[in-house]
Amino acid sequence: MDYLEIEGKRQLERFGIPVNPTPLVEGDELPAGLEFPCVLKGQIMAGHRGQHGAVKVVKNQEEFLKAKKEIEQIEINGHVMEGIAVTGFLPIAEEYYLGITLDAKSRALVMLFTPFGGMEIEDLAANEPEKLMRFDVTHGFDAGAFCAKASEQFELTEQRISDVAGFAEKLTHACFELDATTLEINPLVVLEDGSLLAIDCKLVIDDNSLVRQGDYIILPRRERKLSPQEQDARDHDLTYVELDPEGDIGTMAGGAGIGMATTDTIRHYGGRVNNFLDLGGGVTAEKTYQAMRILLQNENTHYILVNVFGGINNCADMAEGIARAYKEFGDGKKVVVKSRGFNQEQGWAIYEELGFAQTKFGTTDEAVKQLMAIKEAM
Amino acid sequence: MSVLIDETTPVMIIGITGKQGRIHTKRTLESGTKLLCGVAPGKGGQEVEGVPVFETVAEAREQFPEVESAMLLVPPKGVKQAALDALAGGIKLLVIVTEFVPVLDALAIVTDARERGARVIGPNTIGIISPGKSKIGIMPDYIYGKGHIGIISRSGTLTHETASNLTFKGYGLSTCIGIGGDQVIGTNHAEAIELFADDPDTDAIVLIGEIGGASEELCAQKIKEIGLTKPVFAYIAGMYAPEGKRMGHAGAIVSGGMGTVKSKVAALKDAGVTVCPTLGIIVDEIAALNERTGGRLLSLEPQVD
Repeated sequence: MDYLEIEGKRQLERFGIPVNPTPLVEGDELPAGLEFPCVLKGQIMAGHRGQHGAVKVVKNQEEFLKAKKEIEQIEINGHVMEGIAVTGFLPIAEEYYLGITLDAKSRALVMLFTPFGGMEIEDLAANEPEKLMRFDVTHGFDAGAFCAKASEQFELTEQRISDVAGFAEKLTHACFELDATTLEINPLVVLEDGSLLAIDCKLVIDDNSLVRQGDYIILPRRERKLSPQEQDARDHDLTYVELDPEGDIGTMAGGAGIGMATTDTIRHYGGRVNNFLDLGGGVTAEKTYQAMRILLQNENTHYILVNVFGGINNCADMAEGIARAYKEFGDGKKVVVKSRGFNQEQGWAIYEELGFAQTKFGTTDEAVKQLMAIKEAM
Repeated sequence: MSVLIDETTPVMIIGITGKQGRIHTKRTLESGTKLLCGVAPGKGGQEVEGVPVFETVAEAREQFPEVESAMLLVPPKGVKQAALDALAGGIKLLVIVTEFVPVLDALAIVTDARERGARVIGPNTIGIISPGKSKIGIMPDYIYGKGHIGIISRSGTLTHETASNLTFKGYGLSTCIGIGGDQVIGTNHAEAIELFADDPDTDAIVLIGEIGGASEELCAQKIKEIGLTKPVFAYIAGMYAPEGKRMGHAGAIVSGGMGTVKSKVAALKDAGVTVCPTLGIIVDEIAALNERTGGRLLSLEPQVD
């Protein structure tokens, strides 16, 4: 799960990491304690905010209102603005970068540090790798090793390196405590008095860890409006992704992998796929009933491919739910089923009674070809 | 021969008294696997399907020192401790079936295993099976026929799909490794394919990947590096997955052009892998290979509708 700057900063504070105050703008006045000039910072679930005009310096009330209005309208990669925060001007002497990220490729938690801030970190890594320090924190933070490595790589004073190490140690602690897969401070600034301050924060927490983390949301997300089918599916704990709204083929699959393979295969043989639907775990007759109902009630869908597997799930239960939905909402729509696994014979008998085309031992390709042949004949 | 496990491999189940533990103890025994003992704290001295239960892995191994392979079936929040205990207790092959394991827990487990020279499969996997010999996993046996094709897959359902496609057409399997769908896993595609390189019972390898991550790209590098000569057939799921939308597995998310089907297909093709647009086409390719190579791949009686 991704968090906004202000949410990340609040977490940093919990772990004793100094951040600059970043209150939200409410109404048409500056929050108390701030004065012009100041910086408006749009809170949005996307990077490169500056490039998209979502960070603006304003010098007076007029500019403030104008910038606020502009930032509110900004969308980046389909994300909308969740709110606008504001920070005061700071006497900044230098800009650094400090971040921790999970490197799944090398299976390590890696800290990246550079005193050459103000650049895209990806560009720095690609073009001037000697300016970027990579430090493994998988086993926790070793201050001695960090200082030795930093003083070897960069010309910084001992005091400065020691200050950065203190900061980095707290950041590592926060990263572990928050189950973060990314915790990044860009920039980490050095003020004119030599103190360090986090003036931005990017926090991503591992989804599997959310159950043992608190609720860190400050601004409730304004979600993309779901289609009626997507909302309906979500209400019944089904994963539903709309693909081609004009596609006439609906799909139901038992698992994310087989669901993707089903849509890939239909596309490969020239079909137009309306949706991806994954039944997920704990499949009951009620769940397949709801899934089948959602597919059948979609006016654009005239053909349905069911591709399920009874490993833990029971083919007979799944068939029972599908049959019940078809009897209520079938309306002559054509269905092809590939269902195998636990209790497969009972499942096959139920589908046979409904007159569905089936492949019992064939591949998904064969099921798709059956479906395309039926479509052709209509 | 087969890889990782065969009929002589002694196995234990950690979390044997839970609901899943009991179900899979029964199924594991039915498969003919040499399941000797189980572990469940607080349940030592009990039996599940006649299999003795111990308090800890160390205790179980005192009585069964030959057991170095284990299947872990405990709920997500207990996985880290149970896995670290198992590794400390001398388990050398640990299959973590559990889904939704916190990623930093998985990282700690994988790191510990690496330092001890042990192998972890998973988390979030259906496990491994050498059909007709042994399984440390939760897959139904009858769709996994015995033969000479190795399968490596991230997705559980796609392993079932691929295995059943091949089995029903008569092409049996040497070993199938479900490597797991999570971001951090103990054994990736590259490490798994290395195992098959020297296995005399494996004539061809099927590689199933999906969008997201870099596991397939690393595997392509590995194939080149070790000069693998066995034919490899690959399918990457999610050709038409919309960018940024999550379609199930944590690994299966595309963003910023990384981990796309395109980059995976290009890397694999460059390594000499036959990349197929659908899973059914893999079966056709295997059939053609069988024709060319004398027929050993067709090891089972085909089943037809």
